[in-house]
Amino acid sequence: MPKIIYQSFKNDTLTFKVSKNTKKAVLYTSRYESPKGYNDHNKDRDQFQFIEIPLKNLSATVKIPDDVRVFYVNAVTDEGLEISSNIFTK
Amino acid sequence: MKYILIIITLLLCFASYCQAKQNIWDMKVLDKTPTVYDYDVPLYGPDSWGYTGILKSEADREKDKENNYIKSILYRGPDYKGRETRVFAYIGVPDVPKGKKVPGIVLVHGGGGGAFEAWVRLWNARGYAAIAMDTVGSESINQYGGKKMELGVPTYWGDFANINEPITDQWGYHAVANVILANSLLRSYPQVDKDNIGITGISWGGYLTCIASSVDNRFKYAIPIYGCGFLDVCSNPATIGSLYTQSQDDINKWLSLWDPSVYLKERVVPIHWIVSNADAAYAILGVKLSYECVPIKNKSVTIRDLLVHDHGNNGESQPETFAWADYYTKK
Repeated sequence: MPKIIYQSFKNDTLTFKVSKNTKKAVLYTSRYESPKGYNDHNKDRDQFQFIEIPLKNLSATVKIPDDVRVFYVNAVTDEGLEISSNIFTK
Repeated sequence: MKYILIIITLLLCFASYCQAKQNIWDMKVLDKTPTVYDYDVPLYGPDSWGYTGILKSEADREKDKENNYIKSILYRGPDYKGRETRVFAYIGVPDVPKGKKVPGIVLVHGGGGGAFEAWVRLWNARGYAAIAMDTVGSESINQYGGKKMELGVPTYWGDFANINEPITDQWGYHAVANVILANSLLRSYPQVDKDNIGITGISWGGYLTCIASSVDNRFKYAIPIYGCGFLDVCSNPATIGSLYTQSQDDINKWLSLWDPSVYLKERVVPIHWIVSNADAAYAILGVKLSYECVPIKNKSVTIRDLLVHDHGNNGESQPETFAWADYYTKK
Protein backbone atom coordinates (compact mmCIF):
# COMPACT_ATOMS: atom_id res chain seq x y z
CA MET A 1 0.00 0.00 0.00
CA PRO A 2 1.22 3.57 -0.62
CA LYS A 3 1.82 5.66 2.46
CA ILE A 4 2.21 9.29 3.43
CA ILE A 5 5.18 8.96 5.74
CA TYR A 6 5.25 12.53 6.93
CA GLN A 7 2.94 15.51 6.60
CA SER A 8 3.08 18.98 8.12
CA PHE A 9 1.28 22.27 7.54
CA LYS A 10 2.91 25.43 8.84
CA ASN A 11 2.87 29.05 7.69
CA ASP A 12 0.55 28.29 4.77
CA THR A 13 2.96 25.64 3.49
CA LEU A 14 2.31 21.92 3.27
CA THR A 15 5.33 19.60 3.42
CA PHE A 16 5.01 15.87 2.95
CA LYS A 17 6.92 12.69 2.15
CA VAL A 18 5.49 9.58 0.55
CA SER A 19 6.54 5.92 0.40
CA LYS A 20 8.76 4.48 -2.35
CA ASN A 21 5.91 2.73 -4.13
CA THR A 22 4.12 6.04 -4.74
CA LYS A 23 3.89 7.01 -8.40
CA LYS A 24 2.40 10.45 -7.91
CA ALA A 25 0.99 12.77 -5.27
CA VAL A 26 -2.21 14.68 -5.87
CA LEU A 27 -3.28 17.69 -3.81
CA TYR A 28 -7.04 18.25 -3.40
CA THR A 29 -8.23 21.65 -2.21
CA SER A 30 -11.62 23.11 -1.45
CA ARG A 31 -12.63 26.72 -0.91
CA TYR A 32 -15.61 25.57 1.16
CA GLU A 33 -15.52 25.48 4.96
CA SER A 34 -17.56 22.28 4.94
CA PRO A 35 -17.51 20.65 1.50
CA LYS A 36 -20.46 18.38 0.98
CA GLY A 37 -21.73 16.14 -1.76
CA TYR A 38 -25.01 16.00 -3.55
CA ASN A 39 -26.79 13.27 -5.38
CA ASP A 40 -26.06 14.96 -8.68
CA HIS A 41 -22.31 14.51 -8.77
CA ASN A 42 -21.94 16.68 -11.84
CA LYS A 43 -22.47 19.63 -9.55
CA ASP A 44 -19.65 18.66 -7.24
CA ARG A 45 -16.63 19.51 -9.27
CA ASP A 46 -16.29 22.91 -7.62
CA GLN A 47 -16.25 21.34 -4.13
CA PHE A 48 -12.68 20.10 -4.64
CA GLN A 49 -10.02 21.04 -7.17
CA PHE A 50 -6.98 18.84 -7.68
CA ILE A 51 -3.44 19.18 -9.00
CA GLU A 52 -0.52 16.77 -9.23
CA ILE A 53 2.43 17.82 -7.07
CA PRO A 54 5.92 17.06 -8.45
CA LEU A 55 7.96 14.90 -6.09
CA LYS A 56 11.65 15.31 -5.38
CA ASN A 57 13.18 12.43 -3.43
CA LEU A 58 9.62 11.35 -2.62
CA SER A 59 9.02 14.71 -0.90
CA ALA A 60 7.33 17.98 -1.78
CA THR A 61 6.63 21.41 -0.37
CA VAL A 62 3.67 23.37 -1.64
CA LYS A 63 2.08 26.68 -0.67
CA ILE A 64 -1.63 26.40 0.02
CA PRO A 65 -3.60 29.30 -1.52
CA ASP A 66 -5.20 31.76 0.91
CA ASP A 67 -8.75 30.99 -0.13
CA VAL A 68 -8.43 27.21 0.47
CA ARG A 69 -10.27 25.97 3.56
CA VAL A 70 -9.97 22.16 3.35
CA PHE A 71 -7.20 20.14 1.71
CA TYR A 72 -5.48 16.77 1.62
CA VAL A 73 -2.89 14.83 -0.36
CA ASN A 74 -3.44 11.47 -2.06
CA ALA A 75 -0.45 9.17 -2.60
CA VAL A 76 -1.16 7.08 -5.69
CA THR A 77 0.58 3.87 -6.84
CA ASP A 78 1.06 2.45 -10.32
CA GLU A 79 -1.92 0.18 -9.66
CA GLY A 80 -4.12 3.17 -8.84
CA LEU A 81 -4.29 2.57 -5.10
CA GLU A 82 -4.80 5.85 -3.26
CA ILE A 83 -4.05 6.69 0.37
CA SER A 84 -4.36 9.90 2.34
CA SER A 85 -3.72 10.61 5.98
CA ASN A 86 -4.64 13.89 7.67
CA ILE A 87 -7.30 16.10 6.19
CA PHE A 88 -6.35 19.70 6.93
CA THR A 89 -8.64 22.63 7.63
CA LYS A 90 -7.82 26.33 7.86
CA MET B 1 -1.41 15.48 48.21
CA LYS B 2 -4.56 17.33 47.23
CA TYR B 3 -3.55 17.32 43.57
CA ILE B 4 -2.69 13.61 43.66
CA LEU B 5 -6.18 12.84 45.01
CA ILE B 6 -7.76 14.97 42.27
CA ILE B 7 -5.74 13.19 39.60
CA ILE B 8 -6.64 9.75 41.00
CA THR B 9 -10.31 10.74 41.11
CA LEU B 10 -10.17 11.95 37.51
CA LEU B 11 -8.45 8.75 36.40
CA LEU B 12 -11.07 6.64 38.16
CA CYS B 13 -13.87 8.65 36.54
CA PHE B 14 -12.25 8.20 33.11
CA ALA B 15 -11.79 4.47 33.66
CA SER B 16 -15.39 4.18 34.77
CA TYR B 17 -16.55 6.10 31.68
CA CYS B 18 -14.57 3.80 29.35
CA GLN B 19 -15.86 0.72 31.14
CA ALA B 20 -19.45 1.89 30.88
CA LYS B 21 -19.16 2.34 27.11
CA GLN B 22 -17.62 -1.08 26.58
CA ASN B 23 -20.22 -2.73 28.80
CA ILE B 24 -23.10 -1.92 26.47
CA TRP B 25 -22.03 -5.07 24.64
CA ASP B 26 -20.96 -7.97 26.83
CA MET B 27 -18.10 -9.62 24.94
CA LYS B 28 -18.14 -12.55 27.35
CA VAL B 29 -21.55 -13.40 25.89
CA LEU B 30 -21.06 -12.24 22.32
CA ASP B 31 -17.79 -14.09 21.77
CA LYS B 32 -19.64 -17.40 22.00
CA THR B 33 -20.84 -19.10 18.81
CA PRO B 34 -24.53 -18.30 18.36
CA THR B 35 -27.10 -21.03 17.78
CA VAL B 36 -27.58 -21.54 14.03
CA TYR B 37 -30.74 -22.62 12.22
CA ASP B 38 -30.93 -23.79 8.60
CA TYR B 39 -33.07 -21.38 6.60
CA ASP B 40 -33.28 -21.84 2.88
CA VAL B 41 -34.54 -18.88 0.86
CA PRO B 42 -35.13 -18.60 -2.88
CA LEU B 43 -32.72 -16.67 -5.08
CA TYR B 44 -33.77 -13.07 -5.12
CA GLY B 45 -33.46 -12.20 -8.78
CA PRO B 46 -31.65 -9.29 -10.37
CA ASP B 47 -31.59 -6.62 -7.73
CA SER B 48 -31.28 -2.89 -7.81
CA TRP B 49 -27.84 -2.67 -6.25
CA GLY B 50 -25.64 -3.42 -9.24
CA TYR B 51 -24.85 -6.99 -8.27
CA THR B 52 -26.45 -8.51 -11.36
CA GLY B 53 -23.10 -9.18 -13.02
CA ILE B 54 -21.89 -11.44 -10.26
CA LEU B 55 -25.10 -13.19 -9.29
CA LYS B 56 -24.91 -16.92 -9.91
CA SER B 57 -27.27 -18.98 -12.00
CA GLU B 58 -29.80 -21.32 -10.40
CA ALA B 59 -27.70 -24.29 -11.60
CA ASP B 60 -24.60 -22.92 -9.88
CA ARG B 61 -26.58 -22.25 -6.72
CA GLU B 62 -27.76 -25.84 -6.68
CA LYS B 63 -24.16 -26.92 -7.05
CA ASP B 64 -23.22 -24.71 -4.12
CA LYS B 65 -25.90 -26.38 -2.03
CA GLU B 66 -24.54 -29.81 -2.95
CA ASN B 67 -21.11 -28.65 -1.88
CA ASN B 68 -22.53 -27.06 1.26
CA TYR B 69 -20.75 -23.91 0.15
CA ILE B 70 -22.82 -20.73 0.45
CA LYS B 71 -25.78 -21.15 2.74
CA SER B 72 -28.60 -18.97 3.96
CA ILE B 73 -29.01 -19.34 7.69
CA LEU B 74 -30.55 -17.78 10.76
CA TYR B 75 -28.63 -17.33 13.95
CA ARG B 76 -29.87 -16.28 17.35
CA GLY B 77 -29.35 -12.67 18.31
CA PRO B 78 -29.81 -10.97 21.69
CA ASP B 79 -33.33 -10.94 23.07
CA TYR B 80 -35.54 -7.98 22.16
CA LYS B 81 -38.22 -6.85 24.63
CA GLY B 82 -38.11 -10.20 26.36
CA ARG B 83 -38.39 -12.42 23.30
CA GLU B 84 -35.87 -14.32 21.21
CA THR B 85 -34.56 -12.86 17.95
CA ARG B 86 -33.20 -14.34 14.75
CA VAL B 87 -30.69 -12.85 12.34
CA PHE B 88 -30.66 -13.72 8.66
CA ALA B 89 -27.29 -14.24 6.94
CA TYR B 90 -25.49 -15.73 4.00
CA ILE B 91 -22.31 -17.53 4.91
CA GLY B 92 -19.78 -18.97 2.49
CA VAL B 93 -16.81 -21.02 3.66
CA PRO B 94 -14.72 -22.38 0.77
CA ASP B 95 -13.62 -25.99 0.80
CA VAL B 96 -9.97 -26.23 1.76
CA PRO B 97 -7.60 -29.21 2.08
CA LYS B 98 -7.57 -30.74 5.54
CA GLY B 99 -5.39 -28.75 7.89
CA LYS B 100 -5.49 -25.61 5.73
CA LYS B 101 -7.35 -22.47 6.71
CA VAL B 102 -8.66 -19.42 4.87
CA PRO B 103 -8.96 -15.84 6.15
CA GLY B 104 -12.44 -14.53 6.86
CA ILE B 105 -14.36 -11.32 6.49
CA VAL B 106 -17.60 -9.96 7.94
CA LEU B 107 -19.67 -7.89 5.47
CA VAL B 108 -22.07 -5.27 6.83
CA HIS B 109 -24.66 -3.73 4.53
CA GLY B 110 -25.88 -0.18 4.57
CA GLY B 111 -29.23 1.57 4.69
CA GLY B 112 -31.73 0.07 2.29
CA GLY B 113 -29.54 -2.98 1.78
CA GLY B 114 -29.53 -6.43 3.27
CA ALA B 115 -27.51 -9.62 3.53
CA PHE B 116 -26.08 -9.74 0.01
CA GLU B 117 -25.31 -13.23 -1.24
CA ALA B 118 -23.30 -11.82 -4.14
CA TRP B 119 -21.05 -9.94 -1.72
CA VAL B 120 -20.22 -13.23 0.02
CA ARG B 121 -19.55 -14.77 -3.37
CA LEU B 122 -17.23 -11.90 -4.29
CA TRP B 123 -15.02 -12.58 -1.26
CA ASN B 124 -15.23 -16.36 -1.59
CA ALA B 125 -13.79 -15.96 -5.08
CA ARG B 126 -10.85 -14.11 -3.52
CA GLY B 127 -10.15 -17.00 -1.16
CA TYR B 128 -11.93 -15.67 1.92
CA ALA B 129 -14.66 -17.18 4.02
CA ALA B 130 -17.36 -14.55 4.36
CA ILE B 131 -20.58 -13.79 6.17
CA ALA B 132 -23.11 -11.10 5.29
CA MET B 133 -25.80 -10.65 7.88
CA ASP B 134 -28.92 -8.52 7.92
CA THR B 135 -28.95 -5.74 10.51
CA VAL B 136 -32.63 -4.76 10.56
CA GLY B 137 -34.45 -8.04 11.22
CA SER B 138 -35.12 -8.79 7.54
CA GLU B 139 -34.34 -11.64 5.20
CA SER B 140 -34.23 -10.42 1.61
CA ILE B 141 -32.17 -8.03 -0.45
CA ASN B 142 -34.25 -6.52 -3.18
CA GLN B 143 -36.71 -4.34 -1.36
CA TYR B 144 -36.03 -1.46 0.99
CA GLY B 145 -35.12 -2.92 4.35
CA GLY B 146 -35.99 -6.39 3.11
CA LYS B 147 -38.86 -8.55 4.29
CA LYS B 148 -39.24 -8.31 8.06
CA MET B 149 -39.07 -11.62 9.88
CA GLU B 150 -41.41 -12.55 12.71
CA LEU B 151 -38.48 -12.99 15.09
CA GLY B 152 -36.39 -10.18 13.64
CA VAL B 153 -35.67 -6.95 15.46
CA PRO B 154 -38.34 -4.57 14.14
CA THR B 155 -36.23 -1.42 14.07
CA TYR B 156 -34.40 0.36 11.26
CA TRP B 157 -31.14 2.26 10.73
CA GLY B 158 -30.52 4.90 13.36
CA ASP B 159 -33.72 4.23 15.28
CA PHE B 160 -33.65 7.82 16.53
CA ALA B 161 -37.21 7.89 17.81
CA ASN B 162 -36.60 5.06 20.29
CA ILE B 163 -33.70 6.68 22.10
CA ASN B 164 -35.56 6.53 25.42
CA GLU B 165 -36.27 2.79 25.18
CA PRO B 166 -33.96 0.49 27.18
CA ILE B 167 -30.54 0.38 25.52
CA THR B 168 -30.88 -3.32 24.74
CA ASP B 169 -34.13 -2.68 22.86
CA GLN B 170 -32.61 -0.17 20.44
CA TRP B 171 -31.32 -0.76 16.92
CA GLY B 172 -27.74 0.31 17.66
CA TYR B 173 -27.36 -2.31 20.37
CA HIS B 174 -28.77 -5.15 18.26
CA ALA B 175 -27.04 -4.22 15.00
CA VAL B 176 -23.59 -4.06 16.61
CA ALA B 177 -24.22 -7.21 18.66
CA ASN B 178 -25.31 -9.13 15.58
CA VAL B 179 -22.19 -8.04 13.67
CA ILE B 180 -20.03 -9.27 16.56
CA LEU B 181 -22.00 -12.55 16.65
CA ALA B 182 -21.31 -12.95 12.92
CA ASN B 183 -17.60 -12.80 13.76
CA SER B 184 -18.13 -15.40 16.51
CA LEU B 185 -19.96 -17.65 14.07
CA LEU B 186 -17.43 -17.32 11.24
CA ARG B 187 -14.48 -18.03 13.49
CA SER B 188 -16.15 -21.22 14.76
CA TYR B 189 -15.60 -22.93 11.39
CA PRO B 190 -12.48 -25.11 11.48
CA GLN B 191 -11.55 -24.02 7.93
CA VAL B 192 -11.43 -20.36 9.00
CA ASP B 193 -8.27 -18.81 10.40
CA LYS B 194 -9.79 -17.09 13.42
CA ASP B 195 -6.75 -14.83 13.82
CA ASN B 196 -7.31 -13.45 10.32
CA ILE B 197 -10.85 -12.15 10.24
CA GLY B 198 -11.55 -8.60 9.11
CA ILE B 199 -14.65 -6.51 8.65
CA THR B 200 -15.92 -4.10 6.05
CA GLY B 201 -19.22 -2.27 5.71
CA ILE B 202 -20.99 0.17 3.46
CA SER B 203 -22.56 3.45 4.66
CA TRP B 204 -24.62 2.57 7.76
CA GLY B 205 -22.61 -0.67 7.54
CA GLY B 206 -19.44 1.44 7.66
CA TYR B 207 -20.86 3.21 10.69
CA LEU B 208 -21.49 -0.21 12.31
CA THR B 209 -18.03 -1.38 11.25
CA CYS B 210 -16.51 1.55 13.16
CA ILE B 211 -18.33 0.60 16.36
CA ALA B 212 -18.17 -3.21 16.14
CA SER B 213 -14.43 -3.25 15.43
CA SER B 214 -13.83 -0.82 18.30
CA VAL B 215 -15.70 -3.09 20.71
CA ASP B 216 -14.62 -6.50 19.36
CA ASN B 217 -10.82 -6.67 19.43
CA ARG B 218 -10.81 -10.08 17.74
CA PHE B 219 -11.04 -8.37 14.36
CA LYS B 220 -7.68 -8.13 12.59
CA TYR B 221 -8.59 -4.95 10.69
CA ALA B 222 -11.58 -2.83 9.69
CA ILE B 223 -12.43 -1.11 6.42
CA PRO B 224 -15.44 1.17 6.79
CA ILE B 225 -16.64 2.49 3.46
CA TYR B 226 -18.33 5.93 3.53
CA GLY B 227 -19.49 5.49 7.14
CA CYS B 228 -17.74 7.21 10.04
CA GLY B 229 -18.46 9.01 13.31
CA PHE B 230 -19.49 12.54 14.25
CA LEU B 231 -22.86 12.16 12.60
CA ASP B 232 -23.86 15.55 13.92
CA VAL B 233 -21.05 17.07 11.85
CA CYS B 234 -20.87 14.92 8.78
CA SER B 235 -24.35 13.81 7.88
CA ASN B 236 -26.83 16.04 6.20
CA PRO B 237 -30.49 16.24 7.24
CA ALA B 238 -31.53 14.18 4.23
CA THR B 239 -29.64 11.22 5.67
CA ILE B 240 -30.37 11.44 9.37
CA GLY B 241 -33.18 13.97 9.29
CA SER B 242 -35.30 12.17 11.84
CA LEU B 243 -32.52 12.58 14.42
CA TYR B 244 -33.14 16.31 14.27
CA THR B 245 -36.84 15.94 14.93
CA GLN B 246 -35.94 14.79 18.45
CA SER B 247 -35.39 17.14 21.38
CA GLN B 248 -31.87 18.45 21.92
CA ASP B 249 -31.57 16.24 25.02
CA ASP B 250 -32.50 13.19 22.97
CA ILE B 251 -30.11 14.14 20.18
CA ASN B 252 -27.31 14.44 22.74
CA LYS B 253 -28.31 11.14 24.30
CA TRP B 254 -28.33 9.39 20.92
CA LEU B 255 -24.91 10.76 20.04
CA SER B 256 -23.48 9.77 23.43
CA LEU B 257 -24.67 6.18 22.99
CA TRP B 258 -24.56 5.47 19.30
CA ASP B 259 -22.12 7.81 17.59
CA PRO B 260 -19.00 5.89 16.47
CA SER B 261 -16.76 8.67 17.83
CA VAL B 262 -17.51 7.39 21.34
CA TYR B 263 -15.93 4.05 20.48
CA LEU B 264 -13.33 5.01 17.87
CA LYS B 265 -11.28 6.82 20.47
CA GLU B 266 -10.82 3.58 22.42
CA ARG B 267 -10.06 1.25 19.53
CA VAL B 268 -6.99 -0.94 19.07
CA VAL B 269 -7.90 -2.63 15.77
CA PRO B 270 -6.34 -1.07 12.61
CA ILE B 271 -8.81 0.96 10.57
CA HIS B 272 -8.73 2.15 6.97
CA TRP B 273 -11.59 4.27 5.66
CA ILE B 274 -12.60 4.47 2.03
CA VAL B 275 -14.69 7.57 1.47
CA SER B 276 -15.76 10.07 -1.15
CA ASN B 277 -14.94 13.77 -1.27
CA ALA B 278 -18.46 14.36 -2.52
CA ASP B 279 -20.62 12.31 -0.20
CA ALA B 280 -24.07 13.58 0.65
CA ALA B 281 -24.34 11.21 3.62
CA TYR B 282 -20.90 11.39 5.26
CA ALA B 283 -19.22 14.72 4.58
CA ILE B 284 -15.46 14.91 4.72
CA LEU B 285 -15.21 16.89 7.95
CA GLY B 286 -16.81 13.97 9.81
CA VAL B 287 -14.19 11.69 8.27
CA LYS B 288 -11.45 14.08 9.37
CA LEU B 289 -12.69 14.15 12.98
CA SER B 290 -13.15 10.36 13.02
CA TYR B 291 -9.63 9.79 11.69
CA GLU B 292 -8.14 12.18 14.23
CA CYS B 293 -9.87 10.64 17.23
CA VAL B 294 -8.50 7.14 16.54
CA PRO B 295 -5.59 6.76 18.99
CA ILE B 296 -3.56 4.18 17.06
CA LYS B 297 -1.01 4.75 14.28
CA ASN B 298 -2.33 1.98 12.07
CA LYS B 299 -4.99 4.04 10.34
CA SER B 300 -5.48 5.64 6.95
CA VAL B 301 -8.13 7.01 4.67
CA THR B 302 -8.63 6.68 0.94
CA ILE B 303 -10.53 9.70 -0.33
CA ARG B 304 -11.85 8.78 -3.75
CA ASP B 305 -12.63 11.72 -5.98
CA LEU B 306 -16.39 11.97 -6.64
CA LEU B 307 -17.05 8.37 -5.58
CA VAL B 308 -20.80 7.79 -5.75
CA HIS B 309 -22.37 6.62 -2.48
CA ASP B 310 -23.90 3.25 -3.26
CA HIS B 311 -23.92 -0.48 -2.80
CA GLY B 312 -22.69 -2.65 -5.67
CA ASN B 313 -19.55 -1.86 -7.59
CA ASN B 314 -19.14 1.63 -6.12
CA GLY B 315 -19.09 0.52 -2.52
CA GLU B 316 -17.92 -3.06 -2.51
CA SER B 317 -15.34 -3.11 -5.28
CA GLN B 318 -12.87 -0.40 -4.35
CA PRO B 319 -9.37 -1.84 -4.91
CA GLU B 320 -8.07 -0.55 -1.57
CA THR B 321 -10.56 -2.79 0.26
CA PHE B 322 -9.06 -5.90 -1.31
CA ALA B 323 -5.51 -4.59 -0.97
CA TRP B 324 -5.86 -3.89 2.75
CA ALA B 325 -7.55 -7.24 3.41
CA ASP B 326 -4.78 -9.10 1.56
CA TYR B 327 -2.15 -6.99 3.31
CA TYR B 328 -3.38 -8.08 6.73
CA THR B 329 -4.28 -11.67 6.07
CA LYS B 330 -1.97 -12.94 3.35
CA LYS B 331 1.34 -11.28 4.11
